[in-house]
Amino acid sequence: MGMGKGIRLAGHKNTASCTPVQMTAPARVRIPLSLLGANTSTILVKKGDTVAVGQPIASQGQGIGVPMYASVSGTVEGIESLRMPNGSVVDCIVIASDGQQTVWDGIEVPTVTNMEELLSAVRKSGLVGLGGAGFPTWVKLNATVDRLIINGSECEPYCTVDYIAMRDYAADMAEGVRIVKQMLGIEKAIVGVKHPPQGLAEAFQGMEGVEIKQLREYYPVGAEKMLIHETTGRTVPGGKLPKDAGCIVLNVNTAAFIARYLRTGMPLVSKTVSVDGSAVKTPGVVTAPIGTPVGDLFAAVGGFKGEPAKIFAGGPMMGIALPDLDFPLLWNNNGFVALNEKDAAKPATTACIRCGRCVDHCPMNLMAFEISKAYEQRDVEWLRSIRADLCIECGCCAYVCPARRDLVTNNKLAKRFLASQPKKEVSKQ
Amino acid sequence: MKLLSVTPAPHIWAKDDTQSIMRDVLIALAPAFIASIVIFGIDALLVTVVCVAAAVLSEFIFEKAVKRPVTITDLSAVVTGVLLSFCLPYDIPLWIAALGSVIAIVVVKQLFGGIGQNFANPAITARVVLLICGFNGAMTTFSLDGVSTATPLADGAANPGLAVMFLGNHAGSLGETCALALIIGGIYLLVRKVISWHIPVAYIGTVAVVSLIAQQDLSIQLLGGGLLLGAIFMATDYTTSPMTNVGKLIYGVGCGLLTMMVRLWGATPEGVSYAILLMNILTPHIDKLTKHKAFGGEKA
Repeated sequence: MGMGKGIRLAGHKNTASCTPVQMTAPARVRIPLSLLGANTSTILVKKGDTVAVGQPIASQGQGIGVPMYASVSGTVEGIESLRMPNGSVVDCIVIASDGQQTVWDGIEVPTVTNMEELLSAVRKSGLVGLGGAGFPTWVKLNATVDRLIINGSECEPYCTVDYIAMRDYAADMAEGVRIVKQMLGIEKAIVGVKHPPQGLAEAFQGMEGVEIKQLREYYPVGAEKMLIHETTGRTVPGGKLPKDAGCIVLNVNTAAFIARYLRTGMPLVSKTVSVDGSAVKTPGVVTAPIGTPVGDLFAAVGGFKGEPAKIFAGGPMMGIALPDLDFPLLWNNNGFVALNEKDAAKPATTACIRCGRCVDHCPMNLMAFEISKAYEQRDVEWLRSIRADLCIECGCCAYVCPARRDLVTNNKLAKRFLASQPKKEVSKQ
Repeated sequence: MKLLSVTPAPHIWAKDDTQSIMRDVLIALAPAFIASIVIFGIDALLVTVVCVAAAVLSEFIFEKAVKRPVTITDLSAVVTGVLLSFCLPYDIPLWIAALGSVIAIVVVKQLFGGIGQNFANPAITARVVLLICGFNGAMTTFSLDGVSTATPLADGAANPGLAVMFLGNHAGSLGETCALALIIGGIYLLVRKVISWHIPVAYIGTVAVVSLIAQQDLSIQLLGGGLLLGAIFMATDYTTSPMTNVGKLIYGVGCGLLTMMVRLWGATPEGVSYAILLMNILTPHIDKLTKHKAFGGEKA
């Protein structure tokens, strides 16, 4: 079966015409040692050390990890633990800023002449997927594929930094595409975009094997599996990765960062994010050091209108609600939304009326109401047979549900439940 | 500062909720409701009011009695009341109309777990129960302007003409006669995306095809009975119809075939209620046969 239809959403791209504001360094940043959980890095600094922007503070560790860098210049205050929204507790390096933003004198511009050098440079840069998932980019690039897909779809409402990157840094993006394409020997690059800003096509002029593809207007057209299908017609088999369909998918900002890093040697120490929502006075776009308290980002665009009742990182469909305003800005964040009391209220859940909207709108063609039922009964075989494991957690089912049931939440729980089960039992004879 | 609310995504929802969907169904039923009063007079209004009141009241009392949350504000009981009244004769004794609502809400809906849990459409099932009880012909004797008249579907009845059937000035259940009003309501539901085209088109299309094959008067088969009311408003009931589009098509065709079987070979002139009720019962099986296959999920 093909793809399902997804949903249409109001864009709320209020910040699309904004120019990013460079924030002054916050008083203090907290830099968590791990984004994805397991942490094997070694802390390279100790309390009282003086650090500068771009100086390594933790090693890349084993596995797929990437090194961490100081995002401000100042003094290391120590190590704190921080509870991440997924419940895990990670160590954070706390740095008190001296306000100078002195650049570390050990910054080196890397030379890249082949794939291996590109991978090690990208790993050293600390780059993780900037579109939101935060998966280490060097791991993604370590694949033999024939299509490089650049994700400029930005289908979450409110989020605009991908559009802004294509508008302001199209040249960086094109250069990033050229380097990755060349080093990995990729035949063709496809830039998937809904609303191409002026100058995007010009940035790629003279480059062979690049196509700018206008995407259809639906959510979640930017989800990896949807985007691959839209741009190449290929289907990523269930449980497999894009590379199994011959594709690497990079966010526009990720591609632009690669070019910038190879030019300057400055690792990933800051992030540009949109700041918006009904509890915000004036929506805006801010560039700030990693680890900046989220509250400072809101203050930088003029603060709140009334009291915020809910704040989430990302867009309203998949965004992660934050516990407080001190939560640090992370590498994979692309925007923050603050909602007022009225918009933050979650409507009451009522009984399923079997309207079928969750079935009708699931881009993966799953049947969310049934996954919920099977999960309530913890029925492993049932959950497997309806492929609960393939849910991409986009939230369409919960969005369209007139009974406001927590469908996507149940899907997530069902996936984790399935993952915790022993592999398929040998069928009884 | 107050604590922030931390809830899982999504943080926004589509406009439609259960209440707004039911409200849309009521809006779609309004033209036929007005037509019923114009055609059959104030008695029709009374039957509808009694059915709705009895439906809402019995839902309220039952839910209070078994200590379930009261759900009358979702308007589904109102819809059931209106639909039941629409398939009754306008001169039915009011206590029978009220009894029908109690059967629909208490027996068919609440005893099976309330909204979304009933295996058959409450209004249709209640009507069938009343039909079987008979009440000395109160359910099957139709009149117009106080004169007992056969419905156009009855054996040997004359075709009242296309215009009459379109506007509804002929004998029949009080909400089924005005084709124009029902079609307007159906278009409204389609535009508001409350229903999809699959069930009504498959249902009405099947009736048309079988009528042509059986050399029946097409206009009477399509407009003279309860087909439009059934195909647009009853067969499309979410709870008792299939989830997927393919399932809806199968279900619609099944409704059409069963309706024509009763009409052509059955002991009664009309078969819409029986057809929908039977297909309601088949819905879980249709759902099972027409499950979606996950995108990229061909091999587990």
